[in-house]
Amino acid sequence: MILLHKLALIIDASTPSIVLPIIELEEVSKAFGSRHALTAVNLSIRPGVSGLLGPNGSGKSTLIKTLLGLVRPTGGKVRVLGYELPGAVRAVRDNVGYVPEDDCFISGLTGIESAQMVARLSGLAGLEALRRAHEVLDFADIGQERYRAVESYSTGMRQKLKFAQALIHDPQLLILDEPTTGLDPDQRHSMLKRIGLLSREFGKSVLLSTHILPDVREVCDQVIILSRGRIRVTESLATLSKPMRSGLHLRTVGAAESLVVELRHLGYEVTQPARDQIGVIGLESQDSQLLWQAAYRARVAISRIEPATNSLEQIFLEAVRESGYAPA
Amino acid sequence: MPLHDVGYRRWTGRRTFPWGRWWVLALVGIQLVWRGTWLKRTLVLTWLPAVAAAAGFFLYEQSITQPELRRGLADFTRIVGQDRAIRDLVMEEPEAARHQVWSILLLAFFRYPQALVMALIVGLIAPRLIAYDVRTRAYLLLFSRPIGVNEYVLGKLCVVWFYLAIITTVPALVLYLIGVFLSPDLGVVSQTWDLPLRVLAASVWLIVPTSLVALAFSSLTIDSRYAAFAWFAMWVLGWAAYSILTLVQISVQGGPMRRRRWSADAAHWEFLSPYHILGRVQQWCFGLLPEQQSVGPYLIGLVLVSLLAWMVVRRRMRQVSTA
Repeated sequence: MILLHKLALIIDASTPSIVLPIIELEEVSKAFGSRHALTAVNLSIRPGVSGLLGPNGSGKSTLIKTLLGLVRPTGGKVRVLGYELPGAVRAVRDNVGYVPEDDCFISGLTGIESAQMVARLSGLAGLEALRRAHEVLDFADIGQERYRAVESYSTGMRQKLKFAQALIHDPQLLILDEPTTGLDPDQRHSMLKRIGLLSREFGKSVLLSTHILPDVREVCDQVIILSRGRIRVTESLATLSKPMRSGLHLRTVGAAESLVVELRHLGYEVTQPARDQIGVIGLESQDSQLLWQAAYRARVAISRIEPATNSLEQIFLEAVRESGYAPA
Repeated sequence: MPLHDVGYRRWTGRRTFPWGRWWVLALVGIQLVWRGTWLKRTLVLTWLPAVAAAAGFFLYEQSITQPELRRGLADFTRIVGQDRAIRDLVMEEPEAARHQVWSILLLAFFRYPQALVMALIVGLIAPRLIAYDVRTRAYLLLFSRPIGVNEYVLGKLCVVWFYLAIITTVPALVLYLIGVFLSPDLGVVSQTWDLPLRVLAASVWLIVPTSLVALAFSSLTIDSRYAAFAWFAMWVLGWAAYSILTLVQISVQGGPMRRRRWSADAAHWEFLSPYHILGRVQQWCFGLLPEQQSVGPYLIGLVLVSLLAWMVVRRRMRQVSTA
């Protein structure tokens, strides 16, 4: 199984049809007393960047800890990179890099010492560990701050250090739990660029757990939505973005209320996600003439017409609502 | 982009032996502890009693040729609780008493100054070792690597063992070497060859249970001050409870206090005091335990306490890492 997996990773890009999943969960459950954190989770994640979405308390952290062998499931089978847990927990941790959501550091160490220590724990020898630590700190954009105690770092710096430490042993799979939290917009963009680069150019698979949907849209190929300990959605982002029914999405100059009234008067199903945006269901691109006429009658100027797509926010909210979770 | 920034590069090196990675935790822990200025000063001070013990070795070797020094040495053996036979041997045939005298000097070194500084050093080092990791969530960083809970605990224990060995085992072995070099010829080695082994045994019985208990306290809190308080309270309260109960028993039974002190009736209160339990085991290690005393219950007690402390740390770290 492990050999097959390695072979599949080698020929990953050219023949994606035979690529084995990097993560496989079969009927995995985990209960903490009477609380069910995961219920009969079946999941298969292919190489690439996968976004793990879910409201607070949905079981994301438990799922991640299960993948790292930190939490032993109550039932079911877990395979990561072809290694079965909990038996091959060392092999999994040797090949997985993890960025925890929580702030975590060794008190008293500088950034470079911390990275070097983590490298040595992952099996890099003394001087090589130091060399590699400098290399990944450069990649994570940590400059001279690496010689300061980690306690004195800002939240953003600590995020970057955690990211560098996760990469230090060149893992095949990166599990990133909220990696852009605490980063300013510029740093956030750089972090997402790095994630994309690692996936595209170095063939790393990434499981990105986040609440920030634009992050998922920017870098992920696949989306997994977890709610109340169950998988609600597992699909590629491209498939999810296709609308269930055909329609057009309009942007107007100023308020669009009168156009909404006019279109409803014509018998179309209309949604208004924002003051200056309208979704018209059932219309195709070739029917745009109708829209221009309706806009003329409603005295509204249209600035943009495009085929409608499902928004990730919409998919997320629908999936979460279906599970019985009531978002605030 | 700076010139030295080569971007991301793959790493294809060879990994080190997987089962020895707890050693990294131990080394990093030792380095971090060493950065404390107060600890360095305390470590220097903890070697001062070794100077006094070295003077004891010197006096003993001198007393072989200078009989006027024997009285002081015999008084010393009485003060540290040895029986009349040893005192008489020191007075009459000091050269034949070398093994006993060296053992008494080493035991006195372990039992009196070093037991106290051991409590102090462990109280300075151990409370932070796990409590800080729990507070700063460093365990997430560590346990996502190929490190198990047992290896983590072993790494942390090594930090305490290292510093305790510096203040107990190392000076005791140095004292033994001083004794050998001060003696008239190297033939004394055949007479005292077992003493370094006894030093190692006494060190193990001192270091292992104490460090495990200290780490157990450290694992139970995120505030190292509470762990330090619990550690010192255990020693002070244990010693006070033993002393008070022994005094009460002696006063109830009557008779001269000094003679009743080591009676079998009073001895069972020793189980309340870690200091006295360790003292008895060390007496046994150096072959100086009174004949009427049995070391078995003390050894069993220490083993049980060590196992319990190990289980507490393991359980706590498992809880923390899966929470």
